[in-house]
Amino acid sequence: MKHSILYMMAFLFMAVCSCSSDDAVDAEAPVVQFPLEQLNVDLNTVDNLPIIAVIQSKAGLAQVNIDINTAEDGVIHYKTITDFYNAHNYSLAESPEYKVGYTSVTVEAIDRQGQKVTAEMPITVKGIMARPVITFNPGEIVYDEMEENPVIPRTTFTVESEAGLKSVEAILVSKDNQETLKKDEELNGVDSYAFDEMIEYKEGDKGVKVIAIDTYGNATIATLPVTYKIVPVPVVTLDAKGLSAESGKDVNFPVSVTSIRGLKYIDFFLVEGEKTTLAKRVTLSGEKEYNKSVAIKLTQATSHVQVVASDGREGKESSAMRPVFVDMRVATANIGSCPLANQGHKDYENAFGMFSFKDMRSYTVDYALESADNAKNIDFKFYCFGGQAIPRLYSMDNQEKDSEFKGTNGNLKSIAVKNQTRFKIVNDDFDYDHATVASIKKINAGSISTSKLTPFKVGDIIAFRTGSTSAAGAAKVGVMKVVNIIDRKTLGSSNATANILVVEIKMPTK
Amino acid sequence: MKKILYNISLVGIFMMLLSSCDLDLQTDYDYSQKVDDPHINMTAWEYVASNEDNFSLLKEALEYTGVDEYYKQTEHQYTFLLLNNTAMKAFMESKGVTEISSCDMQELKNLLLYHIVSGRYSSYGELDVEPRFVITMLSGEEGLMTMNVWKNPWQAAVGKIVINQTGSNSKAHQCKSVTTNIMPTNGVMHIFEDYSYYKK
Repeated sequence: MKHSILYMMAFLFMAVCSCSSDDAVDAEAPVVQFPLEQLNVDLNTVDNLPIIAVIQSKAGLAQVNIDINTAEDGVIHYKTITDFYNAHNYSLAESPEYKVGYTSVTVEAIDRQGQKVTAEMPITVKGIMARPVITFNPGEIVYDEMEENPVIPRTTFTVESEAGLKSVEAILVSKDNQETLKKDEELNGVDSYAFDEMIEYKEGDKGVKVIAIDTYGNATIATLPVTYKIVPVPVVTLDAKGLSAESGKDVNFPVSVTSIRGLKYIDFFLVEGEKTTLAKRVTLSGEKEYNKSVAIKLTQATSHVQVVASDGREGKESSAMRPVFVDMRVATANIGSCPLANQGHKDYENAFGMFSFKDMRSYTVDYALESADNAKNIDFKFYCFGGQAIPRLYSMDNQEKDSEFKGTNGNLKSIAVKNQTRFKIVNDDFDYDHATVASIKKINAGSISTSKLTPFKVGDIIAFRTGSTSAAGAAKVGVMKVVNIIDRKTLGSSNATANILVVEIKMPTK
Repeated sequence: MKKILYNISLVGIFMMLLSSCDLDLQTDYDYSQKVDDPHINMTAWEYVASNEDNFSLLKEALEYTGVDEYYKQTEHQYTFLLLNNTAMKAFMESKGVTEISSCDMQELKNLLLYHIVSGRYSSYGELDVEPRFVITMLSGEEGLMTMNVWKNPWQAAVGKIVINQTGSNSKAHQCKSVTTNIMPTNGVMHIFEDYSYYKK
């Protein structure tokens, strides 16, 4: 008996000793704490928080179960944990694959004494939002100049966003660059966006690119195709050579026009100084070609005729101009200087020294000396002075150098009639290219008074007045342009003064 | 008299020489590691109040916001992440103020609540080397925090308590303790020279 009591006491002592201090007898149940009252999960983001819970257990944890409660699939057991670094204070952070329909998470803690505690934390899961949807209306813009009345429609599109819009940008994409048409960067999460603008597309435009970004940063890029079909403008072809005509009378003006789209009209304008006057309109009905001469009346002030052809597109007309010489003779002539005056030059036609306004050509010294009538037909002579070959024009009555103009039987001093032609350089006062009878008449004839014009150069405009005995008529005023002075090297002459003067002459006939 | 003093001195010197020649050789000694007792017989508040050189700003802030109640109570065990004057000045500088009383009350309170953790977390087996979430006194997502202890081989870092180790808690700011495991009567204290905050 005494031994039994001793054995029992020993057993009780051992039993008490076997209980570790960690596993406190009758310890409080575990405490499960969630740092968040509710876990809000957004599947559109990548930084969702894990399920976090801290479990404190005085007795020490034996097992922790994590269950996920769903709206449709009931309870899903997620995980059981039995291994703890610190069984008295355990922290869990689990990141399940969140799904729409998760409603809460239940954490069950079981301590070493078998005490169970459960705690639940609600979960909301926001599903994946669709990207912004861009809808164009119309879905394509086609501007075709071949159509009768092409119209550019308004550019409209809408953007719908489930998640809300952050920004929308419309960019005009052209062949060579991109230009932002509109950019709204502070849309503050609106669900829809509308764009309605009149965009004047132009040649080379390819489309309108729209970039819509929602509040999650998801972007949708869509492009409205733009086709801008252009048609070449009409082609007007005119003869570059000037057309001579009489004022007040119809002149047949030849014109050649082609058009891919078809011609609507051809206008003929008279260019009179800085003014243009519509002389005639030929209305057409879509002809692809027009090759005719059109009768128009010109005035003495008309320097050019401008032809404007249209295929019906405003601003896409094409034009060309042709010079006209109304009541005016125009000619280009060669005049040889003193050494060439009687024999001319083999390479240049009629490059003699004596010039006739009546015939618009040069003659030999022999011709001038042959008779009085011939002498009347000579208005001036060309001379080059010294080694520098300084060019001079001499009236026939200025005989300073006549002894050097030698004919077969004498020199020019013996000419029977000496026309008193006069010259004046009018570079700054006269528009030679648009010279007309009217503009020539404005030159003060009295101011043309030089019988010896020196020096002059290529490009100079020289006004002249004929003498009273000139075969071209008395006191006729005209202009000539120094087109070229061909030097002796070009002519292959050893004489420095052997030059050929090339002039274009405009001389009214009325 | 002089003779008597002379004789006494001779006897003294003789005795000293005699005793110095009688020392034993030093015996072997086995080194046994032990840690100083980290326990302090005072509450966290009393510790802060008695170390004003380091915690004058924290003390002022705790009183200003009323968060000092956590430091004073003894019913619950907390882990106090003490912000020393350097840390508090860094916080005030970030807010553009120079005095505690100029701080936004709620911001300051949130800072202090964030640095009080429910339960005891010392490096004596209570913290893992892996960061674990803990419950701070700041509720909601802003209150999320992780803690762990460094036990890497570098002597300078070993044993440091780390809050919000980089990558463990979104973009929360990582801080390392400068002093650890001070045990007041109401929990554990770790001292920091920088303040932490949660950032998503």
